Amino acid sequence: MVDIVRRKLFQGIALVGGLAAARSLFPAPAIARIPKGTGEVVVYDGGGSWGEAKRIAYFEPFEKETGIKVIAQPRTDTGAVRASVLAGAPRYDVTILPGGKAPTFERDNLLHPIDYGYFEKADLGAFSPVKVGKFTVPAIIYSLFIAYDASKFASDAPNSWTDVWDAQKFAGRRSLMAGTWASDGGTFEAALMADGVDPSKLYPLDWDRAFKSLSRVKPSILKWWNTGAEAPQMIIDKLITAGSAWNGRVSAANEQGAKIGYTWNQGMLQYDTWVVLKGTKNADNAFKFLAFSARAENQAKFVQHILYAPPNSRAFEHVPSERAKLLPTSPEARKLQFVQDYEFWNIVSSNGKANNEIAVAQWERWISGVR
Amino acid sequence: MVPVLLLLPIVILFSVGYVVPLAQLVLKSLQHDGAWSLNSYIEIANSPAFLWIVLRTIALAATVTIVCLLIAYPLAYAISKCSPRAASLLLLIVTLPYLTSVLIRTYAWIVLLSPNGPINQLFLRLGLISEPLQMVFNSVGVYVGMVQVQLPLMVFPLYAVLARVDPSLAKAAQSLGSPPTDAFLRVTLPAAIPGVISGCTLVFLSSLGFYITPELLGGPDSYLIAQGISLRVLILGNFDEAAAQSTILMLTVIAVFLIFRQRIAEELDDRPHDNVSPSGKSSSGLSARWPILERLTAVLHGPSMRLHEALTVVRRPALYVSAGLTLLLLVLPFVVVIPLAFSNAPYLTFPPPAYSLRWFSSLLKNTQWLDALSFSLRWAGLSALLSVAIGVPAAFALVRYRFSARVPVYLLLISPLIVPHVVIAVSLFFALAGSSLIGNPLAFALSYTIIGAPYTVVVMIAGLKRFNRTLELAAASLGSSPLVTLRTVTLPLLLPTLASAALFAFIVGFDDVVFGLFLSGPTATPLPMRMWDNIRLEISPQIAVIAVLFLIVLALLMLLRLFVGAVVQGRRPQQSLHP
Amino acid sequence: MSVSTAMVSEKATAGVATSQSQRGSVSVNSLTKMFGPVKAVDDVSLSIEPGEFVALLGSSGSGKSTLLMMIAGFEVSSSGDIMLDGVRINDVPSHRRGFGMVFQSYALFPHMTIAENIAYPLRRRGLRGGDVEREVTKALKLVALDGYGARLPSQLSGGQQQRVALARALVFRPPLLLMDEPLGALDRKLRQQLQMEIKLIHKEVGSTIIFVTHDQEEALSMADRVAVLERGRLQQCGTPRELYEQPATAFVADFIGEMNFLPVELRRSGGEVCARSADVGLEVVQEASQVLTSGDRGLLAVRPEYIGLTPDERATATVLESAYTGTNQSVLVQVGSIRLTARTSVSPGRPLFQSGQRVRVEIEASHTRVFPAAR
Repeated sequence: MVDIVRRKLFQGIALVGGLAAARSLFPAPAIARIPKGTGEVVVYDGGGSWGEAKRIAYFEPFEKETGIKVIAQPRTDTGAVRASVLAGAPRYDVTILPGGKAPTFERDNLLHPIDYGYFEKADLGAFSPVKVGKFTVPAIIYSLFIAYDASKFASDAPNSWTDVWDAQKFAGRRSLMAGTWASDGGTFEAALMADGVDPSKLYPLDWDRAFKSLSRVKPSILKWWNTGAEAPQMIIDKLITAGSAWNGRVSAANEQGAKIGYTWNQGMLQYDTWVVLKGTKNADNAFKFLAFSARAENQAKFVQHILYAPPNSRAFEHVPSERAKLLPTSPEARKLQFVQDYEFWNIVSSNGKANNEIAVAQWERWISGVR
Repeated sequence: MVPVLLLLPIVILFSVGYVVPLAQLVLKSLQHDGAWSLNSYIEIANSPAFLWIVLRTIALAATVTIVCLLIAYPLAYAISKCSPRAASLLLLIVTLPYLTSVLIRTYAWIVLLSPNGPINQLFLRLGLISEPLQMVFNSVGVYVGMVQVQLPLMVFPLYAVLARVDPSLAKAAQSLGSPPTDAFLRVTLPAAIPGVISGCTLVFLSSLGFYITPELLGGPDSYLIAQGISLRVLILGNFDEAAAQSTILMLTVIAVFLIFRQRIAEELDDRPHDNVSPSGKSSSGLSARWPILERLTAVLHGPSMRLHEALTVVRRPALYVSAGLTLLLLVLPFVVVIPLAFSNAPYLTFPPPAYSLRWFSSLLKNTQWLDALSFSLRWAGLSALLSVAIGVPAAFALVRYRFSARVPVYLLLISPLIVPHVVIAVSLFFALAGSSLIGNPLAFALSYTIIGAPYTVVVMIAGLKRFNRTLELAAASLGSSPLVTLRTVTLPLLLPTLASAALFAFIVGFDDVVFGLFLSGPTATPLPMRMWDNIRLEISPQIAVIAVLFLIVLALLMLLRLFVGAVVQGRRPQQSLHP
Repeated sequence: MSVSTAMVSEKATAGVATSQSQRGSVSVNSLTKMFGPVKAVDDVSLSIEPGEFVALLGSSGSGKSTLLMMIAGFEVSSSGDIMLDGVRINDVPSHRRGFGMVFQSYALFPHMTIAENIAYPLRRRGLRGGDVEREVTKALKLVALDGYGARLPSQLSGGQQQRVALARALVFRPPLLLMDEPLGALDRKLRQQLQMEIKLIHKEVGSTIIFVTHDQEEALSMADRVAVLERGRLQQCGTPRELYEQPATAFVADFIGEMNFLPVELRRSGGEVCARSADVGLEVVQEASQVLTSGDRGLLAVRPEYIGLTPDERATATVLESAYTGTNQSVLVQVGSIRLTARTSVSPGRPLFQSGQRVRVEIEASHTRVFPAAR
């Protein structure tokens, strides 16, 4: 371990975080200190092990380095965040939005443009597969993929959405995210892939075909899930045998002893993005925080605690390979998946509705039987 | 004049924190891009889905109401036959579902009702069924979950009227030759009608605004209007459409209110002067009001005597079995929740693989949670006191005085039980936006009071109607002025009712998530916000710990009361031996 | 009971000026109470002397309780005056009237001990410490419940509870004690025992008592005077004997004791009315009272004990049924188209009347009263 650290130091790269031995040997980072500041920055926390990872990798070291106090605040739904900005009292200075929802904030002028002055040039150029934007800095990359009960399907497991749809071959109930979540749930893409659409030809989504496909799977759906915890929990409770789930939750449950199988095949890469809300009183502190969290070493440290992929690809240089291969953006996983097209989801059609809203309206009609 | 003064505080608070914001929201729904427009309504009118969702919601609410009535009646009746001490214990059990966060409660139901859950296991072992029943993630699960939560709203009004029915009335009817079942139809049931109506109205209307329970326990077809509204507010941020849908929901609610306003008003009536005013007219009964029933019973009387006799034999056991099962329904989730809190598993799994206190110690180590806990205790506690302070005088005014605005005021005060909280929260948020109250604990005190005070009003009304007003007349005759009577007689005797009113208000605030989403800030983060944050991505036994801590505190309070009671009881007769 | 009267009454009667010697006279003038369109109490006037024991008697809905509640101050009168010792008290709130009150449901405060219950009115009047204790002990003694002070009401029987209520209502020595069906919840034997005790206590304390009951026997046996109410109207107020012997209305005649009514034809001449019953072959001439100013049909009222029966094989009347009650025999007789109940005293050796036996019926004209037919 120490050897690795030394070698990296010789290469002129900053210290790896999270390694106690290294920290005590080399207490001062070689470069890239963010100037000291004052005051505070209100940051979305996320709770649970995600919040814990952020606290260890970002919040506490940031406070130590800059003297700026991080006030970690729990989740508020996007609608309430929107309301708070509209009312001129943003709920956070820095928060995280699902990648599919951030563009509507951008469009409606609810975000503060980001000053990249505190960022390392090397970090900025290393964001992949999602680049930084005028208002957005990718925060985590994760996969919505096929998860199943590994004790039920040991040798012959579902390997495509078509398999998930096939309740004869793979007996048991199913769960997918409710269509009301539109882009977040990936349910429409999954439906089209189940119907044989190649991932590369998904967009623009064919709504009719998607709902026809959903009508086929509906009889075996136990329920539509709404929170990330539900699908793994239903597999643990043996209520469903397969469905969609987020990789972070599945891996965390498996680390705790659960037996949930998964495949990267036909998985959708999704991402969350940091934004600074318009009307913030701590913009400068927010930029400092974003620059800090964009650093490869800090993101690598974050990955030690939760299996969300770092958007800064340089972080992989600091992540042990056993851990790296569990991440959805590892080379093996990456090639089986595709990046969800958030641009499509935010195209506004002639009636003034974005595809995100069109999907919800159609879902409501379909679920109430009038579609 | 007196009722005006008594109602003034609550009406002012409700106007500022509830009526005006809602009115603003309605106005907002009539605007589009800053201009007057019916756009949002046209959108709804053009969507057949909305109508279907509304109809489905109404059907669900109606079913829940009927089920609640059928199982709450025997329970309320049995409680009304108990001694006051036993009755207050049983009423407390009825409120138990409120003590657990909606998430842990629904999770408990998922465990209990699942195909390999304890209930199915039991039925299988007893040979009642040959393969597991599907009881969760379909309408059964939704009914079970909703009925459990809504039951108190039905039991309390029913109990209030049944406790008031003079058992000698039914006995008198029996002695005059009507069989017990018939006496029930003619005497007991008519007397309970106001309670039935008001319980049904409360359950039905507040079921319209439910969404978390159906969302978590419902099957793939479950989709209700409040779900649509909260989706628009919380996820889409489409406030205009949400406001329009809420307005339609509120208009529906107001329409139902108007249809039943007379019956609801009857629920308010207490008859303190039973032994004062001419009493002969009050025993007219159901048959007098519905002549058809009179004829029907007359026709059936002869043949039904035998049936009645047969029924009489099973009536009592059936009543108690039914009441017992209902109580079981209420406490069953705790069978799951308590072991879960002591689980040593990192995620929820039942039965727990092994037991430990890890989730208790993890709670005590987490300063964020402890801060949030103390915030919630403090402000939910304050708002409980505030709810009692403004709700109790209001209940007095509504029960004890006759004035023209009585029914409208009553409806206003209980309406927060019905309007979806997400709508109240978003309207309050826009009303407060720009002031320094967002992120201020005072905003929580205000909103918790608005959702808590209706419970204190409902509970106090029930308590006041049960209250024997002759005691107040006696106090007056002994030279006690009304205020002194209040202090020395009325309030001490209503203490248990006051306590349960405060408990209700406290729990409603303590369990709130929705207002937290809009009103919290760096210095104001309630516990459920932290809990929700955790639960979104990983459900851990942590949330069961809070429920168990709650139970422990409650059990200690009960023990204390029993202990004090025993000491008092034990001391007095001894003293009397040595005067 | 020798309560420190001066001190208590000083505070008790604040707002009601009274002179010590004359305390407790009540008069009610043209009192009316409307419940919506219903006249619960209809123009009732009544005058009660200090120390008098008056029963308000009537069936349920007669207005007797409403009248009591107005006197107590729990109901507001629609019109008319309520006077206490010559002072109008309609507007004095109940807690300043200083009357004792006993309720049918006892109305003991369940959260207070017996002693605390009895001390309650004393404390309201500013008594403290030893004075209170002394008075409570005396009051308990008065109702024969010494030593029960530390118990809770729920630990006492119904009769004991009502005695406590009585002690509590008397402990502050009120000029007037109101009792609303106080014995209604008790069984017969206990009721009779308490009737006696209440009479004794009345003698001892000397307060004016207004006592509401629907039990005529109770009213007649306890009260100095009985006021009979029916449909909100005062029918008659008089001593038990007056009510029994000279009922003012057919209602009172029927309500108090047993009474036979015979339909009669009326003929008027001068100041007199002649009532004739074809069935019994009887003619009675009476002074035309106010109630008999018009109409040619009436009812002749006669008590069973003023109907004489003599066995007579040739008579047209027949014994239908009879009941032997020890000193008396009640006999139901068919005379023409009507039935009469007679009560005859039983003397040793004389045979009892038997069903089917023919009897001659004699009515003492001086003990009959004539009422108009439309009751």
